[in-house]
Amino acid sequence: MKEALRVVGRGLITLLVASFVIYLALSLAPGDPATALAGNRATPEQVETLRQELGLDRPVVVRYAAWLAASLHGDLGRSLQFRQDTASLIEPRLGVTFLLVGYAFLLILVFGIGLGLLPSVRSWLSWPVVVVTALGISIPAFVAAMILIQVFALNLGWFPVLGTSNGDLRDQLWHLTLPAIALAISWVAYVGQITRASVREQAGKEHVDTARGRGLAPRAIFSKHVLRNAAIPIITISGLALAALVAGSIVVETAFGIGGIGSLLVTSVLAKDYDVVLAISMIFVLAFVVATTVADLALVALDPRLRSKMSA
Amino acid sequence: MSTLATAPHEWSVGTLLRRLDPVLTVVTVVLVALVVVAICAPFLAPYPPEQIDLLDANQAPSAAHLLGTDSLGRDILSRLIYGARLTFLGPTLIILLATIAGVSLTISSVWIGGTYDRIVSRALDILFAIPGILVAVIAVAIIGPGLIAPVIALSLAYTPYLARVLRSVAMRERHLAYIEAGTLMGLSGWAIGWRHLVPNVMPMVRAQAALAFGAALVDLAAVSYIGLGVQSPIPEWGVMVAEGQAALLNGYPWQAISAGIAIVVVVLLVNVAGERLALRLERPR
Repeated sequence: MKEALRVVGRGLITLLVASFVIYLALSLAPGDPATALAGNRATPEQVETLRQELGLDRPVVVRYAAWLAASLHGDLGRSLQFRQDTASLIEPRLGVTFLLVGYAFLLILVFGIGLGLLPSVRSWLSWPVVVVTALGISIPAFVAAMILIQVFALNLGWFPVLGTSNGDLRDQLWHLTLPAIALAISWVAYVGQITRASVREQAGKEHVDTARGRGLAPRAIFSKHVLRNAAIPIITISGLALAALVAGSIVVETAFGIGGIGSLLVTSVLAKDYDVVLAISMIFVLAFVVATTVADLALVALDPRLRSKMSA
Repeated sequence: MSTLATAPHEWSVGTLLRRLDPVLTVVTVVLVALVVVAICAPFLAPYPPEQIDLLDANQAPSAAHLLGTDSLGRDILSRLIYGARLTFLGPTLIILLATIAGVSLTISSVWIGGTYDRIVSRALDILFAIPGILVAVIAVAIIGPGLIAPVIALSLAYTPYLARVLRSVAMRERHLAYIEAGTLMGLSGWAIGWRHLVPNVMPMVRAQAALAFGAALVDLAAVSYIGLGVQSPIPEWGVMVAEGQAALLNGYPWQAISAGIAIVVVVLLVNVAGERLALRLERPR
């Protein structure tokens, strides 16, 4: 329990510092929000008044604290590009991105871990798995997107080429299948590689030989003595994968023309729409910290050694 | 590693051949050849990369255009060859900067220890919590589109990766006898660090740098692909995939697919090289 609190505390501190660093970095961006908001016909005095109203004359730490307080109440500022509240702009897009990331994460867990376990079921599959995972890791999401669109959307016509659907969940998932595969592909390979290596290492341990010598059933040895220990690196990597998928949505949503927060971030950067850039960046960092913290918590729950070692 | 078995004077052709890793050698030769092709682009590319010929647009591969032409009639092979320059230069700079930063921070914090070590470690942990591509996008928001912002950003983003792996090796080496011998001989911390500690962690650095190079190449090409990095019409592989996507949707996949495959092949080669270098660390001969 104590260790779990430590993990959560560490996550919160990381979140706080990382969000301040991003706030600070974006406040260095050229261009004055007050001038932009006031418009072309404003007098210098009007701009100055607006600047004071917006609090831009205050030090950056004070402005960050104000931003943080406001954002905790759901006020994320205003989008200059869309002339609406950032929060109401982001909210409908958040669901699409989360659906895409969740779909991809499911693919990673099922196919990544499955691929890594294949060699322990059929040993002749060992080197094909090595080759396939090495190749898969080297395929960037946007290249996978091109190949998937060409083969499964244009040639075979199984899936739509671009865009999202407004229909029911089944239709949405159908639209998100190719994007989710593109997003997941290199991580499926990576998780497969880690799983295979981890299981191999654990299966070669002395206590496994002992268990075999004692005549325990192979199935029981595998699940109780090999898999439980092998799960530790797999969980860590899965946490990192989930975190990276969220950032990966920037590329995949652009590739498939999906209206989530990833593609919104790209258009906002090009339009210098800083409130939106700030808000989405924070969501990504939040997702990263939550994903890695949950993975750490799972490790603490799974491994009693970690509990005693860390609190010692 | 264990240098007793292979003293320096045993560098005969026989030992050299036995010590060579055939896979690593082949991969290295191919990669060097690709770099040479990129450098010699003006002599090797069959056409100027920005020569537009609208009458010859969207051609399938032929004898005149080995990989076909794009939607403006530019020769795809020539653009790939020229594009290799920026595609390779970016990650090279990133890994160079990140390695220098990672090695200096790790060696100094392992050596100095205490509060400095704790601050450096925490700072790197927090940097690790911001995904590389997000750092690059934020940098573009501040500095503007182009190669400079993402290169600086990704150098920062890759520093914690290199520092993390290095740390455990550096910690182990720090407590070995030769370091203590150096201290007893009155060498300065600086001299021990750079002349003794750094050379001994170098094999690890090389393996990690190769693996990070592939990831950096992918990140940088992705930034260019989404339109925030290298700008069209400058040839670069990420830009070529982006430009090729419109043509692909119209039924002319040559540019997007060939630039995409070029990226996959180079990343695969670099990853294999990194794996082999890492493997050599585990089983020193």
